[in-house]
Amino acid sequence: MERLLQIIFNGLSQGSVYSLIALGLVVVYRGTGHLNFAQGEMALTGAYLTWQFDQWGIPLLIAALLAMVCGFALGAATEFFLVRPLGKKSPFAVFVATIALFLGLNSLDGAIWGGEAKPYPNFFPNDDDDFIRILGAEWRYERLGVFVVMLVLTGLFFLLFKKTKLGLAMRAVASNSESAKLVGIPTNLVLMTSWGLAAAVGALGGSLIASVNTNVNQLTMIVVFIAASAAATLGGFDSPGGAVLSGLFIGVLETGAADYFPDWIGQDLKILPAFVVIMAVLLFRPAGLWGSSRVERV
Amino acid sequence: MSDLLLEVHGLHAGYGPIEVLHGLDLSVERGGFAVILGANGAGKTTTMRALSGMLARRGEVSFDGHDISKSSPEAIVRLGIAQVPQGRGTFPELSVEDNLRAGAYIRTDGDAIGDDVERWFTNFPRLRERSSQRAGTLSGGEQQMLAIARALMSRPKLLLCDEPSLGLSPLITQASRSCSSSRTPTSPSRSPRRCTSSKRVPSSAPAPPRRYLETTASAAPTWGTDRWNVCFKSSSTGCPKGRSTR
Repeated sequence: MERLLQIIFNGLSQGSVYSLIALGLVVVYRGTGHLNFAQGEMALTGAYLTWQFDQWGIPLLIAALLAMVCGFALGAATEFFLVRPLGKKSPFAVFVATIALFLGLNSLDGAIWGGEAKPYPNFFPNDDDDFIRILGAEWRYERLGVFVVMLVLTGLFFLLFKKTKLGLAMRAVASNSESAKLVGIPTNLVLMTSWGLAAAVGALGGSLIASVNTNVNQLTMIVVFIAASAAATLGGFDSPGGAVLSGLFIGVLETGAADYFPDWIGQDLKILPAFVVIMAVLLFRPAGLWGSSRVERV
Repeated sequence: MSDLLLEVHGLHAGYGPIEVLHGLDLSVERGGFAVILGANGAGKTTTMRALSGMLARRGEVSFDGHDISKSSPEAIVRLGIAQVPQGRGTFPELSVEDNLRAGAYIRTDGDAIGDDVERWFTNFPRLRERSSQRAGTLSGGEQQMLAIARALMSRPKLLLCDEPSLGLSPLITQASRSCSSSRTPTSPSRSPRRCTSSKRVPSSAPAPPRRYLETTASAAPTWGTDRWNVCFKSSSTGCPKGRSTR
């Protein structure tokens, strides 16, 4: 029981990071129908920026906020300079461009900050006794903090989508961009905002995972991105709530697999059981658990 | 101020290298009504899309004293032109109510938007029954009602209806029938291959499609315009010659 609870706690905080990246993927996909392969590397750039600002003596929280602002600009610029002109020609061009951006950003980060891992500051108290004990299991503040931040952000996104005019516009553009133009929604601006928001959330997610890992290097986001895209696929690419839940699910499953079968799964193969489950689910629900197969009358 | 609400001279528009409109002239009077008829491929939808700014076009287009020949769709909606697009112009994944609210996107008067949603629910009780249902699950006719109500949510001065008979709800059927009984001067029998010219429909045209106007006029537009301007597009099949409702 204690062990299970511990696995759940650790899994939830690991999964929170997947959820944040997956949330960014879903926001972009809903808006433009593109899978942003560079989402993980945008998050990596955000993580490096937080580190850099912190090095310059800016308080860590403000550093993270600044990195989110930069992330927003990066995402919006990507939409403006890459996605919009290429999207008019072919969706595959965008697909390839985001892969190019993935490689480009990764190399750029390496060129600026070097290949060595940078020790990363902690967002939350991280001494030996900084944890709460629930039924014998320890939930460390740093891990609890990541989980809470993810919950708050998900809540904010939910409010944005359901309660604000921008959210209504984003949903309208995602649903039918032609009609969105006809009711006077500035669709390009809305899409730019979507990409910006996704990258800003990514920057925060990247900073958080670097903080939990206690370091950041060029490879930090690769596995995280794969798990996050798996979460988005499992949840359904157009369902933010589904992406978040699936991210948490994958986090718990991989932590559990590594813990219960240390010999033949362990840390190296821990993501594998999650993918087996995902494939099984997709066989029966190809649109994902919460994804909507498009409703259309012909 | 001119008594013409919409004036179009020499409108050219098309898709890429293919030009569909070769210098179209068209005008709609204030409080007036115009119908565009033509065979398949004549360029009716293209005209609508060019007027609402969805297509690259050249020529003179002035609306309510503003030159809109180069304006974006957004700016054109803000000036007061709303379009009911052809076919399923709704937001299928959004609820019926959200569709209406999206139609009021350009407005900033929050409370009045709620009142207008209520107004259209009263006019189209079917939409109220289905207010929280996703628009994509509505029947074709219900979607057409929704598209019309959504267009009116922006409180337009000019309403462009593209092929409104497609949904075939009773409302639309009535509208297209009365359209055929109105004997508008633009005769469908010529079936022009291309919209090279179009005729102005005087507002004193005998028996404008009152039924259609009534359904919208019962909403008593309280926002400045005392009458709807409707630029109403119909295919020749939607307005069969010689059929009368009287």
